[in-house]
Amino acid sequence: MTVVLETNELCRFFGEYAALTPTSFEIAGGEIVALTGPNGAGKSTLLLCLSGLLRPSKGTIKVCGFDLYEDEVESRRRLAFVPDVPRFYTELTAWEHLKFIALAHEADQDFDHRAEELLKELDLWDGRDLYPHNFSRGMRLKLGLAMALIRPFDLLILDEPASALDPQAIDYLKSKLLNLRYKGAAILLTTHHLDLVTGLNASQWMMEKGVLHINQRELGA
Amino acid sequence: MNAAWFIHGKTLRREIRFWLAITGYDLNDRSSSNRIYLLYLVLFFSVWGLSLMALITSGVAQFLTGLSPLHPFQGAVQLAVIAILLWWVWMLYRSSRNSPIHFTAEDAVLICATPISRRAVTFTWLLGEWFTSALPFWGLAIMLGFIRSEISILINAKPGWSDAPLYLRNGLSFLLPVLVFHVGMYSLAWTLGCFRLRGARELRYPLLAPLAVALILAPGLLMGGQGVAQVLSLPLMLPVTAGAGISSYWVGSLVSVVWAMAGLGGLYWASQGLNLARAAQESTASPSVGFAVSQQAATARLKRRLKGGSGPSRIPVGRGPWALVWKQTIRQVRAFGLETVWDWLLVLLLSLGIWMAPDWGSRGVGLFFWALRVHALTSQELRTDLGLWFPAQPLPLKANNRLMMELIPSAVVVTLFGWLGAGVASLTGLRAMPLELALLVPFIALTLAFSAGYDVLRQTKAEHLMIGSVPTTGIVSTIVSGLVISLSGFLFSFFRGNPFGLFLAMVLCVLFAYGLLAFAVDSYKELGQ
Repeated sequence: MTVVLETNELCRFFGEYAALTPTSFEIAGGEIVALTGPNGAGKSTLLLCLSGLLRPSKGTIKVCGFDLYEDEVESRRRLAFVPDVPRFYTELTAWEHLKFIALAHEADQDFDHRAEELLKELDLWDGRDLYPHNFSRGMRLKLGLAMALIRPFDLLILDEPASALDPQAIDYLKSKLLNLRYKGAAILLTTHHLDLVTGLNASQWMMEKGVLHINQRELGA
Repeated sequence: MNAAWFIHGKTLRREIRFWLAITGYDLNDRSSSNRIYLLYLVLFFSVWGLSLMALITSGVAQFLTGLSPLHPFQGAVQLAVIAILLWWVWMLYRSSRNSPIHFTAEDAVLICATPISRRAVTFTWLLGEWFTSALPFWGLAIMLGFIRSEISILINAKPGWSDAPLYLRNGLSFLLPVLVFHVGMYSLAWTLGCFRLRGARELRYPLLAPLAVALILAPGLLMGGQGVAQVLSLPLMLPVTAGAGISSYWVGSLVSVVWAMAGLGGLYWASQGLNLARAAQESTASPSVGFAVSQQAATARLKRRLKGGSGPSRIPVGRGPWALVWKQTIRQVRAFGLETVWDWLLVLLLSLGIWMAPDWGSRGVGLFFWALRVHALTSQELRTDLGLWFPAQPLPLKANNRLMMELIPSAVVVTLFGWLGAGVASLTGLRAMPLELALLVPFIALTLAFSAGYDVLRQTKAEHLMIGSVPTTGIVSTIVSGLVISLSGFLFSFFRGNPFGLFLAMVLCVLFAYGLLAFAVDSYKELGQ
């Protein structure tokens, strides 16, 4: 399997406090990793570093061999991230958010059809012309997911994707993750709800006090 | 320490720290040199502030003397009292419609949902809000004192440094009663707001208060003369006229104290039953008409105006970095309103003023304010994108492309307004600067835009972006822009009549713009470290 995500001695300090101690790991294409751990363990810090939103104190991150900071454009083209609380432009509708992302990624071929399909699957079609500030928390999370899924990627990072989703949306997300896995994408997600990854053959990694414990325990097929 | 002060005190300290940080003072540094620097800052800004006020009042005093040679000062006092009345009626009106206390969403959870003393909350918030509201009044009072000194000196001689004690004495004698008077008026407006928000009942009649105040006080102030109207307006007149020497100083001061006691006493009584939940609902649901002018309030206003949704935009799309321009255009079109008109009208008026200004002194003042507006407007899109770290930051765009697409469009609009200013000034025959300087406008606009971008980025930290907090432009962009404009102006003047001077000025701007963009790109790449 091709290595999609590779970190080397990655760490993040906030002053003296080590939110993430030096850690090196790899995730291959077609692999799903569920990152668990108590609140404040450093899961979100790790994800923010991996997604390029927070710069690590030391270490390197490579996506499909492209360094996140040296080959900024190429690595970001291959990486999609959905935060636990996505934020949106006040003046752009849900549809226009999708279009903006597709245009910026130059992935607007057959956009109308793909966007319609995606929004219908996520039950957001009726709200396509609404501004996201009128959405509920769950709908915002769905729109965040749609913005990640509307463009091609090799690595999908999801921060607490099940935190605000309804059961139907969780089922959809599970099937989507499975589909992406078969297509060769690597997926890294944090969750407190292991039901989300049950049945996906995901590896469970554990974080505690900034230390990442990697084991390959699979969460059942 | 009470809980209200514990929460709000932190906000106030953060604001103080922000303003001190702008001046380069570090609150955490306890060294002697830092304390000496603080002393220097206080002295510098005191002298600077007083000199500026003396400069302004000098012009006002000459204008008033020309307008009314017999009683030049009475007119100024009359105008000041009318302005104070208008302000107070406006305060009462707002208090009768919305909570005078402005709570953030965090306050609503941390403070308003607890059984905390309502009185403590009210007075703690009053302290922070009152100070910012009082500053213009203090400035006005001191300036009135200065005008009084100026006019009394102008009768016999020209003012000089030896008259400084007279200026200070008159300024202070005006300031003291007005300071106490303002406390009273401000807290009375809050009393009305707190009274309206007591318990669960929706009271309508507080809406009549501003109308009643206007009807009682205005006739005496506007029409003058004797009689009941004049007597009714006396409580408003006396604290201001006392400092002017028109009425007894002690009577005026006493009236001020009565105002303050009435206001604070009323607030003490009304705040006891204040319903914090209602106050929080009003201030967070519609901060547009609340007291705080903030980015949050502006966003809330915009959301209300945008309503539910909109059909897909028909604006032609752009791919890659041009998607940023597409997004920016949609945002500008949808957000277009009176505030936008005012923002750009100000740029146009300042441009016009610069083209018409007869000398470099007045032109410099115009350029200073123009540059500040240009900084704010050109960095707006970049600040929005930084505030929305997701989804803007993970886009696969090179930092320099991204920054250019965010900064250049508004610099183009600034250029167009600069040219419009030149055109209008030429058509009216009032243009005082050579027209060929219009060629320099796009270069200066671009440099200013990049300096604003760099200034925002150098202060930005990724941890703050996670919560949507983005700094505004600071002192660096002001200094750099001042330098570029001054040097360009110098080169143009030095080679007057020779296109080489203009060419050199353009080259200088391009070099600065290039350097600033490079710095901005570096800062962007270093974000989060």
